[in-house]
Amino acid sequence: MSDNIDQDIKDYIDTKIEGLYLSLTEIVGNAMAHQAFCNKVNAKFYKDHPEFKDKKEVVASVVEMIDGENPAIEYDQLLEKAIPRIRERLATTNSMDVSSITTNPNRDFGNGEV
Amino acid sequence: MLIKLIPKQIPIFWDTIKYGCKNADALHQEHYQPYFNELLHALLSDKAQCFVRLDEKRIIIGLLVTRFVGNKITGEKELHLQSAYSFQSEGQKIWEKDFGVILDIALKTNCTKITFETSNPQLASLGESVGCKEVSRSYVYPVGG
Repeated sequence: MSDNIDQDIKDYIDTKIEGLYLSLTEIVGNAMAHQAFCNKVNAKFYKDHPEFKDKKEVVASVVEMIDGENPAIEYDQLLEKAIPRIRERLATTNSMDVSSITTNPNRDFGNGEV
Repeated sequence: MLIKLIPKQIPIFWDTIKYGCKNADALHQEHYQPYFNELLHALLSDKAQCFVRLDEKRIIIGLLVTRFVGNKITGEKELHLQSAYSFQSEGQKIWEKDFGVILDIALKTNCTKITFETSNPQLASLGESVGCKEVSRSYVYPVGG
């Protein structure tokens, strides 16, 4: 009796494991298809906007930020939405000095208005 | 009064931030560009946060840069104090008050720890005064050259 129950449990587990293994191909296939889609969209994005090609860290940073704000958005729409923000970010960072220090910076906070 | 700068305010106070971080982290000039480039992007994306302390005339007298860090082993979220700089000597009470604000943020953002690294004995002592515990020491052996 006990042996039969053990065998039933074993058979049940084996069936589940087999099902899991079979679904792995589907999961990996989907992941690969998604990655291929992203690569294609990325390639098109940089082809359409060659000015962003050398600023991939800025693109990644802005895209990540917009992705956080819009978790349900499609990847191609996300990139489209990021374009004005990337331009804005590049304009800001290009005007900022990152290689020297002002010895006496203006520390007046004022009203802090932008 | 401790105020968090929003990303749009970063460019306005960028010179002050650079000055404070350079002094807090004892940066060498050859490292300015990679360090400040990364910091600027992090602050503009809110991946790093900058707090300033103002005096009664609304002059910036202190600066703190923080980051939320995920611990890859434990999965816990930590509030890391990256750089702290004071433009004038501050008393223990002001530090305690500022730490209280940081602690409040850490609690509200579900952080399990506040962390910082320092080679400055005064800063270590301030940390210990509010209950921070030393957990490790860092050693370096220069290879070659």
